Formats: sequence, C-alpha cells, structure tokens
Amino acid sequence: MNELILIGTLLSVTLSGLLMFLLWRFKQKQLAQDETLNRIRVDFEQNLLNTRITLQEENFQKLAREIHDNIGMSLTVARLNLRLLDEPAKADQQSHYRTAAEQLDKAILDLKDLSRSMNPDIIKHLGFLRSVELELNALRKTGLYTVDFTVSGEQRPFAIEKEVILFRVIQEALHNILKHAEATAIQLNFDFRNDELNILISDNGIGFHTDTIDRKRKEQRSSGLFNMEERCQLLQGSFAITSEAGKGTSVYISIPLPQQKNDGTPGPAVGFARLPQ
Amino acid sequence: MNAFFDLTNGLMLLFNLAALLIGILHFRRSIFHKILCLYISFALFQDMVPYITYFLHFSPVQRHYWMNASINCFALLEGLLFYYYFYIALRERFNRLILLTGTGLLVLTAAWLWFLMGKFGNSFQSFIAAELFLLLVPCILYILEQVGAKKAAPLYNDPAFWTGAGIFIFAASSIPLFLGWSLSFPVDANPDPIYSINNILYIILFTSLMIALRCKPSSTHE
Repeated sequence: MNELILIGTLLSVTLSGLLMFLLWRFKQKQLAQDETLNRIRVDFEQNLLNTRITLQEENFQKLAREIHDNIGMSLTVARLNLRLLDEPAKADQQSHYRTAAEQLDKAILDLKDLSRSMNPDIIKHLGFLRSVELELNALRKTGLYTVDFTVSGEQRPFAIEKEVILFRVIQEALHNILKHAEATAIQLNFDFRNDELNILISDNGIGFHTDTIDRKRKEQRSSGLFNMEERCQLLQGSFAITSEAGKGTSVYISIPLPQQKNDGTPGPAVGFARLPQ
Repeated sequence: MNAFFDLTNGLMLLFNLAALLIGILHFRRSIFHKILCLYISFALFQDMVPYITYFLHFSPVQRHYWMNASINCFALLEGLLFYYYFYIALRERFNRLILLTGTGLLVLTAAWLWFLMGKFGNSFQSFIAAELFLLLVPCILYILEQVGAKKAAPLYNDPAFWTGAGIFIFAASSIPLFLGWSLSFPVDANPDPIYSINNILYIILFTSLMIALRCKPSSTHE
C-alpha cells in the first residue's frame, strides 16, 4: 500500500507539474504571436505614415514649383510691366500706382517665402538649421514677435529625410503659435546631445488646458498636434506638450541622432522612403 | 525511516527560512509579496509548534491536542490567505464569485469539523483533505483564466503563476497522499513516511514561492 501511495503522489506531482509547464509553453507561444502581430502592425503603420508624408512632400514640392514658376513669374512680369508705365501725373493716381507696385512687391516676396518654405529642396541646399533660421526671420520681419533662437552642443547633420520631417514639425509648431497663441515672444532651443537632439519651442501666449487638447487629439486624429506627434514617432522620437492657461505653451521634441561614423558623417537614413528629388 | 524524515524535515525548515528571508527582503514590492510573506511566517511558526510543545514540557495529551489544533488553525489560515491572494490575482468577476463561495465553504467546513464533529484538538486529516480539494479551485481558475486571456503577458514575472504552480502541485499531490493514509493506514501506524513525502512537497511549494517572491509584477495591484 505504501508503494501505491508513493506512486500516486509521484504521478500527481508529475501530472500537475506537466500541466503548469504546458500552461507556461502556451503563454510563451501566445506572447510570441502577439509580438509578431504587434511588429507587423507597427511596421504597417510606419509604412503608411511614411507613404503619406512622402506624398505630402511631393505635393508640397509641386505646389512650391507652381508658385515659383507660374504665379511668381506672372507677378514679376506684371511688376515689370508696371515699371514700364510712366507714373501718372495726377496726385491721387500716383498714390494708387505706388500702392499697386508695393502690393505687387509684397506679393512677390510673400510667394517667394511660401515657395521656399514649402519646398523640401531648400533644406537640402541651405541646411536644416539655416532653414529654421529663415522661418524665424520671417516671423521677426512681422515685428509682432521677439524671437530667440539658440543652439547648444555639437551640431550634427542627420539624414535629409529626417531633417525635412523635423522641419515640418517645427513649422507646424510655429504655425500653431501664430494661429492660436497670441504670443509676443517665441523661444526655440536646439540641444544636440551625444545620441539625441532635444528641441524646445515655447511661447508666452495665452496657453490652454492640455486635457482639452488630449481629448481633441483622441477625437480627431487629424489635428496639427497629432500630425506633429506622428511625425516624431516616424523619427523614433518623442513629442510632449505642456501648457497652462495664461502661462504660454512649450513643445518638447526629442529625436535620436544617428550613430556617427569614424569620419564624423552620420549613418544612413533608415525607416522611410527617399523624398522626391 | 527516522533519518529520512529528519532529513526532509530539516530541509523543509531551511527552505521555509530561506523563503521567509526573501519575503522580508521583497515585502514592500506588492500585495502578493505581503500575503506570501505572511503565509511563510505562519508556516514557520507551524513548523516550530512541536519544538515549542517540547520545550514547554507539555504532556503527551496536551501535545497531541496542540499539534492538531495548530495544524487545523494553520490550514485554515493557509486556505484563507491563498484565496485572498487569488481573489486579487484573478480578474474575472465570475471567478471571484467562485472564490468567495470557496472561502465560505472553507470556513463552514472548518466550523463543522472542529465544533460539530469535535475534531479541533483531536484530528487534522479530515480538514486538511477538504482544504486540499478547496485549494485546487483557485489554481484551476487561474489556469483557465490564463488560457482564456486574449492578451498574453510573460508568466516568468507573474508571482501568481509561481504561487499557483506551487499550490497546485502541492495540493494535487497531497490528496492521494492523505487519502491513502486515511484509508489504508492503521490509526496507530507511524506517520513518518507520509510526513517525509509531505515535507518534500512543502520544499517544492517553498521553492516556487521563493521564485514568486523574486518576481516584479507589472500589474496595478501595487
């Protein structure tokens, strides 16, 4: 009988242990499946976003060329034709003539700025920081804002595709300030660290309750803030926003920088397709 | 057989002490760790009862009474603690309701056996056998919940898995042991072989509890 008890106990230990082992194996397999599914979903979303951004940049480029080559050219010709005319003798006509000339000049300049701002090639030609500076200069020119731009740490260029995406995020942030913030001062800080670039864009405007924005972002996934966040995700970076009513708004962006090669050049761009050249 | 019993008893005490030490070290980690630590402390106290009765020079009758009484009390506490543990670990409302029913059954069984049948100071086997069956319930519910869970979480870091595995192996294996003993052993037979095997089962339980205590649960039960 002793043996029977012993055998029964041993059998129970083995069977119960086996059952727990099977549960363990089952969960491991389930976990592996979940991870694969998750990876596929992330890859799909990344590709979708990548395609969307690439298409958007293509459209921007086409539009920029259209503005520059057609509308810009027409306005320049119109301005030249105006110059060829003699100034009218009458005083009130003179005033109209000068106003028209000034408005044409302004329209040509504004379109030039718009074309430059939309064209991703400009970042390639001027460089990322210089392009951001030009954006800020345009704000300074309005005379409505005090703009403070600082860059700290060792400046490092990164892949042009990433620069274009990041440039669009900064443009969106600045656009939001102009549209909603009612600010008088804008601060932009670039901090290059060893392996990441931290960007702070802040203003002294009216601010807002972040809860409202969070709710709106969840409701309408196409908002500007959501786009900014999405673009940052595409760069494997992080995006955060802090604000309080009456105390301005701060946008924090952190983007990983590529590992530097021995010769100091950045590594290849990975994760999204080439932008139109 | 005495030597084998002494060996397994000594080893079980060592494992119990080790588990208590790990439990104290990780006591603050989560409610699961606190419950396990409490259980291990009770288990150690239970292990000490024979020595306490010896040092207090209890008569054989008194010794018999207090041994049975302490095992009965410990078994009830053990059952309640593990039921509470799985009440927190399990997510589904239905499973929690079953656990509440099980808790009620455990208390009723204890009350019936101890006070109506008068077994509190006389015998512990009947209550242990009933408790072992009831201890299987939360483990089976945990296994079913894990199998049915749509979202997978790694089990190696889940204290409930290791605790469930330990109790399941212990309870499932103790049932044939105690049933065989109750059915086939004469009343005055030497229980040392049964206790020796039971000690080994306790070593397995304490080992899995030690692993459970080393887990860092990522759940919100903190």
